[in-house]
Amino acid sequence: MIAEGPVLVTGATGFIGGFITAELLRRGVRVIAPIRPSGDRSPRERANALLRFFDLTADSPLEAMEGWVDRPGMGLAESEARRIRNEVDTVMHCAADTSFAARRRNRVQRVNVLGLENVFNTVGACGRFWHMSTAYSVGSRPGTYTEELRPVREFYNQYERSKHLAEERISQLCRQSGTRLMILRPSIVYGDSATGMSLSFSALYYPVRTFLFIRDTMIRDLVERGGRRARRLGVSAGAEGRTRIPVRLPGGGELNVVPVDYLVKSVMALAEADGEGVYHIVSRSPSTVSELLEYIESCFGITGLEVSPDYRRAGGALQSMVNGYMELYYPYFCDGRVFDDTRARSVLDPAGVTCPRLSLPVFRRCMEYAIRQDWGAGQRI
Amino acid sequence: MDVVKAARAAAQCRHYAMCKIDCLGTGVCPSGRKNHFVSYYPQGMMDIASAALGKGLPLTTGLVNVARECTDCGLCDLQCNFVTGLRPLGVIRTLREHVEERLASGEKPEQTPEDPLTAELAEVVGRRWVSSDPAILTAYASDPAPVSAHTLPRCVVLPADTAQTAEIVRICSSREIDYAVRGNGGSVMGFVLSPGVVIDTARMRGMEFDIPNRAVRVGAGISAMELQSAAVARGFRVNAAEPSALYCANIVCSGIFSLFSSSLGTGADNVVDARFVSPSGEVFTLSQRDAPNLFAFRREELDQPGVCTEAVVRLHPVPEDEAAIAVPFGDMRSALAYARELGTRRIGTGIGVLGGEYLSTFIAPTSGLAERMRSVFREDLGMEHLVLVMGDRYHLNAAREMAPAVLEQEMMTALILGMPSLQEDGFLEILRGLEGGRRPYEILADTGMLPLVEAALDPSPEKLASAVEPDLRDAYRRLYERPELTDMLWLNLFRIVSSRMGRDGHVVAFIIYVPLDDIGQVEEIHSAFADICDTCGVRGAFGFLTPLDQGAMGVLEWDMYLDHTDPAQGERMRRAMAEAASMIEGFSARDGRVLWIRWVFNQGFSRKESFLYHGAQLT
Repeated sequence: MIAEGPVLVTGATGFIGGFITAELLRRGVRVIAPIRPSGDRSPRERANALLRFFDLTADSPLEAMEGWVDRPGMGLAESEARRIRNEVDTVMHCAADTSFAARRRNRVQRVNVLGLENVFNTVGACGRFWHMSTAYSVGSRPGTYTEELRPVREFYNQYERSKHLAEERISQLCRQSGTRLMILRPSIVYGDSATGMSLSFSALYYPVRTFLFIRDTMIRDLVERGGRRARRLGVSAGAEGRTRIPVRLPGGGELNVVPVDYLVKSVMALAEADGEGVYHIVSRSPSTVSELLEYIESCFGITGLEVSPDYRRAGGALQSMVNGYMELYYPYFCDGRVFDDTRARSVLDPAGVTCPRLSLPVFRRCMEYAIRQDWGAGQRI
Repeated sequence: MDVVKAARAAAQCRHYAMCKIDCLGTGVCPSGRKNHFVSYYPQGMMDIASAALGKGLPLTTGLVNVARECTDCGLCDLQCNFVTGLRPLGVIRTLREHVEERLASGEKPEQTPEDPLTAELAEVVGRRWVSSDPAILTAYASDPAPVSAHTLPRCVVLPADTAQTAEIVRICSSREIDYAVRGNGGSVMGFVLSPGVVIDTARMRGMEFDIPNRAVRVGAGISAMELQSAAVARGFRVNAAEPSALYCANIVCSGIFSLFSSSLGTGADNVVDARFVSPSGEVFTLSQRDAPNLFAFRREELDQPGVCTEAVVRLHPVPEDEAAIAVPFGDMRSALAYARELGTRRIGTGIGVLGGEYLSTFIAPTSGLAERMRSVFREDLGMEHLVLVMGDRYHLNAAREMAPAVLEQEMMTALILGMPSLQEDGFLEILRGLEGGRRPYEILADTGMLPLVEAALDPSPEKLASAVEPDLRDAYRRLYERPELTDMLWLNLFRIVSSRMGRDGHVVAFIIYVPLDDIGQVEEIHSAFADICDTCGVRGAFGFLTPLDQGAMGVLEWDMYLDHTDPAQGERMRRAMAEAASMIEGFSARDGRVLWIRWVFNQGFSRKESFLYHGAQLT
């Protein structure tokens, strides 16, 4: 039994929150979802869009209400908050801002730390609190990290720092109130390994999207406009429809990615086991940059992408873009951090939950889905 | 065009007078050029159409002439659309049809009854150049400023020279008749309206270059665009502001400030001499021993010192290698500090901190595209402000060295001509995905990004023209095939796109001189304006700031926008204006160096030192 009563899910219209909400509904669990209006769409309309996305019927037990995690009291009337507190026995907190942009620092802090406090103070002290964190909240030093909360000072970016602060804060709040806390730390999450479905196309998707953008733009330049710009960038068309994009990327280290279906199954298994404490939801067979480049070549005919330790010294606009990207994501693509998942495995192995590897077919499935969805442009949830 | 629709469209005229100058190099309205009265230009015809098709105008000879003088050439449609998005031609045709229908129905045009004043003025200027015809006067009766009330003058007169002007002023003075002097259309603050006589200076079109003395003598009917074009053709420039503003009137009003004021100064800095007709009708020049001292500033509301009929102003040589760069910033403080530093070090022939609203409005050919660009600049590229720097290659090299990121001319050209594609194909998402410590505009500024941007956006005149109405696309394509239309230097020299700020409605500009040693105060003023807009429900934005006097001071423009035909918006704007006035004076009380341009009004010939540092004047 996952939960006695309804589960309140924050971030239900987001990537991870959406997939977890769908799974809870499939299992007959009633979900209460505070949702922000977005543009001209009401919370209910967004909730309906979510149901449609997951092929769930409109009468699924999903109660959508207008709510903001980053507002005091979540923007709920006190009577509404009281009703939810009385009704709900579990909170699944998935709402987060994952931006690495320095200019969004305040917002990231507001959503990830203050938002968490708002949620807890409004509806959280209700029995069980499941907090979706990240494996990268452990800090930036290379080494092995166990499933526990330890003080850390050094991070790669504000996002990691905010998630660490959030873990500290929620631990303190739950300790004080006697709430049973489960902290879930997935590594980089991508789409469903079986269907390719996803609600987010950043992280693993971004470099692929960038290379495809360069490929398509340059092919257009070569075919329709004489190719002057493509030649300046060193991009050329090869045999069998291949495109050569001369760019170097860093190698070494690992890229720890998990498909969202594995994350969802893990959360359900841990919930059923009434888990408590920290769990790493990670892959024991991480990928490498070289593998990804092979996949990109195989799926999209893009050649010229090479792993090179001196990638920073290579010149040109495309290299400059890649270097800019690597300034942000190097720690994730060439990770020296190892996430011990002994505690998680002790629950997941008996439950038969295993992490599919990012193989070529899985990669192809996920990327083809992303392209069909125009990298999310066609999705409005 | 449907009469109601035409009347509504006519009421939208912004009175920016861009139809009275050759702003696009396509020519000037032949009817206006021939007849000189505003009434014969598209701007006047719009006012007349608004009245005739709306509440109604008597069928007079003036109305018939105005309607029939239009040659249907269509120049105004492109000019006005380029600036405001309006299309006057359909309105003017509807006016003509309306007039012809009335004539066909047997209605006879009325002759305006003889007025002794008109007769006396006609003796001075000739019958052709004075009118009391209600249709002709209608074009001189209103201004879109929310503080101005419709005021039909008794007559309008167009003197040819100083002597005629002096005679007119003497007649008005002796008869105690109020008069207003009007430049190229309107002051947009309602200061050119009078129930008495409107003196329109449009016929005083003398322009004589004195190259050895690096000076040009300019008549009161010459616009900034005409003067600048003539100066540039001779390898010089003048310090000029809005292209349609009549140059002499512009000096009298507030002194001329432009982005080039960072090096060329303002107020009396560029004035060699000027000729005036005093309120009593006497003629004097500034260089005269017994002339009134117009170089000194007093912090008082003063009347016009007289009618400026001509001025001699300085010509400045233009370096052959002069160009412009754009330096984007993610926050106002850094942008202001950079501009101040350039000013202090005397780097650049022109400097301006532009807000995102200004920039997007200026470069986008349509309102919709401008709206999208506002979001692109701010949200996608992370660019809050942009410092435009103009100068020769030595200036620009220094400015580049001091800048955190630079958008070169070629990149700006690609962004302007490729604008319709900026939000397509995921280009912005790719840039956004790279954002960490560096903002997307910094990535865009990377050397070598140009080929990728060009390949992605495929910039071309056709591409940009695809954003406008189909029947204007070919004309826009031809316009944007001219390199100057995307040249940041040229666009600032002639400022033909700055009137686009009135495209979504009338603009009320608040201009304040501010000390730049306290950038925090400038930010406070900016926030105070934004708060007032929020409170009053008015749209507004930072316009620009140009450092003056080696970065010691700056001239700041903050703009509020309204649809002047909507009474509710007018009411909100009046409230906002009152609150802004009180706010500015509050800052002035705290720091006397903060000076609202209201106090400089009619003292535009004063030395900049006299008004910028008026706190240090001897008492």
